[in-house]
Amino acid sequence: MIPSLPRPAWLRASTVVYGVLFFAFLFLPLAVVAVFAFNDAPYPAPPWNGFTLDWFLGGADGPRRGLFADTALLGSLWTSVVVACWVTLLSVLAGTANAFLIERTQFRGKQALSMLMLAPLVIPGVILGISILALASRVANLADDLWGLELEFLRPGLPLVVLGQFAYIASIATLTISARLKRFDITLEEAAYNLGASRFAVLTTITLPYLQPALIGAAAISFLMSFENFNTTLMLVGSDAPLTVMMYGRMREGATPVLNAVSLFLMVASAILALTLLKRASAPQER
Amino acid sequence: MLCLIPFWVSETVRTLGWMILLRESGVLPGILVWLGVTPAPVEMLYHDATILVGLVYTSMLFMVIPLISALESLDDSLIEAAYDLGGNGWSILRHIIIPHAAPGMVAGCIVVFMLTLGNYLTPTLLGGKNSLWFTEQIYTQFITRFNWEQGAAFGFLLLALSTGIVWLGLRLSGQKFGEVMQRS
Repeated sequence: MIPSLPRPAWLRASTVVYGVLFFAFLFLPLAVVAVFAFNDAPYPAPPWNGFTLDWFLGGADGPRRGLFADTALLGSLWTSVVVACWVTLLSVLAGTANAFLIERTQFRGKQALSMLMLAPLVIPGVILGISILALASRVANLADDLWGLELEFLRPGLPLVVLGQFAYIASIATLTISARLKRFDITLEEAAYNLGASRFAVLTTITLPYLQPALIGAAAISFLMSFENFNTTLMLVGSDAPLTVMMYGRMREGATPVLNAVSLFLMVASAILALTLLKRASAPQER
Repeated sequence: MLCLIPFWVSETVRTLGWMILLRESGVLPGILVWLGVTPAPVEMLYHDATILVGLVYTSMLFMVIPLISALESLDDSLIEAAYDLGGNGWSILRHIIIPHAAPGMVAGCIVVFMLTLGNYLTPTLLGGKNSLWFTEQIYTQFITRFNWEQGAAFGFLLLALSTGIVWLGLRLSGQKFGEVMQRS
């Protein structure tokens, strides 16, 4: 809004109305999920029967198994965390390497390569999933036929999930890191070389500290993206399901408020993560 | 910035929220009955319109972010100058703001389009058994029926179609893929 311009009253009023409606649209589903996590009823639906913490604390043998006693759900939460950690680690490493490759070097076909790198971002996740599944199975079958090797990690399972998520999260990490690297003043490095620093010293004392906000941002985004990913994961998942797949399965069977409890937990966790990031973000976040 | 927090929350959670809101025993039908609009609770889940609402909700972020960054880079003085030169609200919107935001809009459109087309979770959960979502077909062929050839064919078709449509959109709007993706 530009203060110097006159704005008619109806325009201001409609802006307010629109804002209120938009926020209702935005927050209503989340608020409902949070509220019904505490409802004293076997289904997450009205009427409101009173406040209870059963869906968090309920014992394993009671009729209401709370979140902290639901071993399957907790196990899948842990699976998600493990997968997300691996994806984050790999993506940030590869993203940093890619950023240096794209920003610092010149070679033939660089444009094409960086264009190709963006492709996983727009390819539907399901397709990414099935193509990795198909490729991995082919390779595994081939190894089995030719050398009699049973490559267990190429069968649907967590290693493939990590690989599938890594395939597109690495692109996001690369974008984030290379946006920061692009603004780096190369003369700083030259000055350090002039003063007799080794390559390694320059990297660790100048370039990486400069990149640190982007690295942290990329790590957080990678973690979140991996944690929430469903489309790619669904195609590659083996016997032990990450949280999103588990929740999907339960939602199809008919949800109980335990799911609301998990959801509330996820909401709080991601809100905290987002707020810490926003606070840290002296440099603006690029996606 | 606070209004972006819902987008940090997992898609599963958001879909669950919509399911609770819209199902027959859910919140919105209850409110409608209470208000006397409908005599009995209406099933609001499992319609095409429900899928639409859910998908808009899930993918809005990817439209909002490019648009914010596009509009932030617009210099206010341009608009003031346009008013000085006698433009009115509509003509300024049409000749200054929209052309300036066009790359952001195209970027948002492409990303949202692709994400929506490739989405599996929201359509299956909100659309129920009657919705024939394409990714669902691919999943069925691959995982349930083990018909990998047909699944691969479907997948390739989806990929080719979506790439074609995006390419067409880029051509019509005169944007370049690389530039657009940099903005998003």
